Amino acid sequence: MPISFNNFFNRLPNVSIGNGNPETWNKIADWISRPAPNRLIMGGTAYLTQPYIDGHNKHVNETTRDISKDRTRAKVIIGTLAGIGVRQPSYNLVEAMTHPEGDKKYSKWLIPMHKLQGLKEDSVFLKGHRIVVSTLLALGVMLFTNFAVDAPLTAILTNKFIARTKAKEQRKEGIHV
Amino acid sequence: MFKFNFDRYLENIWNNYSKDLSKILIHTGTIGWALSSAAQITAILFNDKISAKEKTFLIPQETFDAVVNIASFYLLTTGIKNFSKKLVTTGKILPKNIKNYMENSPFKHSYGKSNFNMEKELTSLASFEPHKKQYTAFKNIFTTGATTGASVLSCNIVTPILRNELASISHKTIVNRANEGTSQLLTKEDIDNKDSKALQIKYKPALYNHHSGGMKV
Repeated sequence: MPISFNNFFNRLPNVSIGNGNPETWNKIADWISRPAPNRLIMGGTAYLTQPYIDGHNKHVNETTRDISKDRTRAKVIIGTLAGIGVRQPSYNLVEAMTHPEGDKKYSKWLIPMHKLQGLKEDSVFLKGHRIVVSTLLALGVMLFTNFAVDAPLTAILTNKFIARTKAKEQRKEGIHV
Repeated sequence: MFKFNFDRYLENIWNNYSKDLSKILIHTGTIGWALSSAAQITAILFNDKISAKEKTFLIPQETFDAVVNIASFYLLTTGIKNFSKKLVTTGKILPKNIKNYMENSPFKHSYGKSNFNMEKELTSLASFEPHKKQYTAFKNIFTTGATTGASVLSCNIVTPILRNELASISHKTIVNRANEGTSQLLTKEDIDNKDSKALQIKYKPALYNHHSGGMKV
């Protein structure tokens, strides 16, 4: 039998995973997909893994390794905070303007007119539309914040971390002397 | 005269992206990484506290961070996302109730095979109706969880390892050329020079052009 993806796939056993509550599953999936929690998950795991990987890069000398680790740590912290700070308000703003049954003046501003007829609040497309429009809005805002906020704040925090690492090294050397 | 039709743009977004969220995540992610990388490279370049020697590693590191992130997102994240979706739509992985239903159905021998499609075969069957809600929710949580896990693996483990490997090669090449005196970018004296500000003035255009050439922002 030739080796192919389909043959490999068919040989895998069929498995089952417990029985959960569909409402809970949908709530968790919906929360994870939202821009701000998603950024928080990515930022939290980045803080745990990336500085560790940079700190164990044997291809560069110790000083470069330390600076690289400090810069990555600062970049992850600032990037996560700025990412959440931009994405959450973008999502909230778009959500407020995408209510097909809303009675406020701006409730339907960001829903295409041709799609309004019979559109329900829990429509899967509407949920997707909110994520898409808020992501595009966040990207537009980040054209500005990447340069005006993220980059300078990362540089300031990097320098603070570098100074702290240097002080730590000096203290260590002082003890050995 | 040109008339801006906002509704037409909203409708385009709805028709092109709202049915498949992964498309927008890939497109905006690609632009986002490139932009972020360009901003970070500028910040490294203007940081007086970092010497030229360290910059010859940090700038390629940041450049490769964007390039590898985009590549691994296309290959790894979307690959795992599609595979996880296939696992559920073929019935390879199911909640216990639905697996029991499948074991007692006419599809007993065909479900879990690569060409089987749960949605095509079952969702219109009346006997599957009580399980429909659970199936949809399971598919939602399983593929969302797998995609998030794949993003963590791709962005936070694979990318930093690969970008460091690639940046190290670039760093060694620049340092070796400087030591041999054949570098157009930096000289040995520059690398030993602690005055980062003087270097910025001298080499800013060269450094920037050399390292951001691939970033079409």
